[in-house]
Amino acid sequence: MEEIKHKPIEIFCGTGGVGKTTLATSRALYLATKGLNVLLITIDPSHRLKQILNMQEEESGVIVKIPITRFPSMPGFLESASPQTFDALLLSPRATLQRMNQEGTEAGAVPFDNPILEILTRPNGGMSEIMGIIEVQYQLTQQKYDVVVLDTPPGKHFIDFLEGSAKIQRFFDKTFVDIFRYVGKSFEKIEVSTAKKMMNLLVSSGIKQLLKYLEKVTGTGFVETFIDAVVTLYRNRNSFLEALSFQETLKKPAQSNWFLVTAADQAKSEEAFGLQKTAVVFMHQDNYLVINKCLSDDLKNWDPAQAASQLLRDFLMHKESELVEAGQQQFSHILRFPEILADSPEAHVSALAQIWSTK
Amino acid sequence: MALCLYLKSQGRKVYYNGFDQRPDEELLKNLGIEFLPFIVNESAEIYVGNKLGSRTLGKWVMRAPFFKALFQMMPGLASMILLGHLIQSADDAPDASIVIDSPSTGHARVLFESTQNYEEMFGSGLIVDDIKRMQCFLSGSNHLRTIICALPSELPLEEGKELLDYMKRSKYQDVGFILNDSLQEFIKAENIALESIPQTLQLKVESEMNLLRAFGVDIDLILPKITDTDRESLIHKLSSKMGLLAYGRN
Repeated sequence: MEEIKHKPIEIFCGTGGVGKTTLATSRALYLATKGLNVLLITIDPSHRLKQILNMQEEESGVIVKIPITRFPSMPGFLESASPQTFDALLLSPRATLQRMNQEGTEAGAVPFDNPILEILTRPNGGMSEIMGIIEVQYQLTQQKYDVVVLDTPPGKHFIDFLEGSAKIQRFFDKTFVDIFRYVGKSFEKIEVSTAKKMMNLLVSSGIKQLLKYLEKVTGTGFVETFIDAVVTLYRNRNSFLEALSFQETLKKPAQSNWFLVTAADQAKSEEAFGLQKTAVVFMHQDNYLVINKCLSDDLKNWDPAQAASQLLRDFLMHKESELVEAGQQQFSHILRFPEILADSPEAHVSALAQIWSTK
Repeated sequence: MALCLYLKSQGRKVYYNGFDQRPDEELLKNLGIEFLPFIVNESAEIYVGNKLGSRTLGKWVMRAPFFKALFQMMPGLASMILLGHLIQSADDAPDASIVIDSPSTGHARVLFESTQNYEEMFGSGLIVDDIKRMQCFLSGSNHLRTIICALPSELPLEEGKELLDYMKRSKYQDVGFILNDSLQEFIKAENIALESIPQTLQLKVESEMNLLRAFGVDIDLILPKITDTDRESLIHKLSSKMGLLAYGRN
């Protein structure tokens, strides 16, 4: 396999259970051994990365240094001691929003104590995809790393992540920004002509109707807390809007590598290619299909006598060749990684990292 | 889908729902499985309309630019509304079963936690009353069976175990655990001698055995790898094994 040129952002996506997180980690390890500054981020709320890297859930939102010495050496790989590390981050929506708030807004930092935002930014509060875009764009803007390797949520939730930019853009539409500036201030400070214009906007945008609805169906005080939460978000809107440029970065072949991961031993090909078809509007054409857990090299010389064994061999080889054939039509490159059965997640990652180094 | 087929074979009225993913409708049709084609925006329109006493008003609120934008920023809210719609359907048809093909682990947690999160967020009022009714239904006996499905390797098993622990802490007691696509089970079922298969496959089988020994969780069902390239045929083969799942541990 030819060495793949690293890019500022490398995205690993795919369906569940195919080895996406392990492969992303191996890529980060491999690039770190080449002396590059690497950040590995997971935005999948299941945080499988913590198991591979022996991180704790409490470390979410904090960049942790992972020494390369944690990974066992393989013949021809990592055989001499290396001082390198790579950084790893388990996304925490709360930590991302707090950082945005602390870095100040146009009005200066405001206390982050809104109960709605506190609940929404919990680990399973549902804001991972939106905050994931903001965090990744922030890390790219810092220009601290040569490569940011991104481990994404499985399946459809990866598409939710990709669509996050459009959602941010809709939410922070200039009309809504003006309205929430208005509702965030006391009425005495608003000029009559401005107030009239805002009332018209309130009605046409649906905000007035929404607030009336919320008054009817929620407890007392909720509407005020809701407005306060939205105003807080709007005060931080520059950070949200900066994340829009992330989508443009993804489309540039010079800026990003896309790795769609599937597994040779599972019936996931339809789902994998379906994911690619949906994501194609966000991707560029220079992309990789990664077929993990390949067995054909081990099976091709196997000539069993038993019919059931023949069936197993034919099935496994057929699944793999079907993936390769379909992949050749839709992807620029195909990468194959063999099935690796290791004693530990670290050993598994090391073995995969060695394969990235193969020329 | 296999579970749907099994329940149907037992004379039960059953529906399939892919939750927030569009299912393969042709496959469902070929299998003779009815599905509930709920779409989250429509569910929300119906719900908001019911609260406001007008479906038209519900549509208007949901389609208003700001509310639409807000709704898309909060996927947990959308999940909860969809879940509520499914629960309502189940409540309206007590003799039927709805089999929900839920999101994968991390997002399944978002779904389950959404009712607690939004109850806390809204505090009180009509929405909270509805959320409490949902929680009451979900925790009621014979209303909800959750089946966690994992592949036979370390990370999926660990993830499944975390989800199982979470479900039990949250007082969802009727939770089953199945292992899917087991090579060890295939070898056993087909009477294939371990030493007759290539070393990589031997190691794979041994790895599965070691993992299960160390796993520490009762597995209700181990499904073998099925060497069928046709999905309909594969689902039919799986359905014959679903009896234990359908009726739980008791």
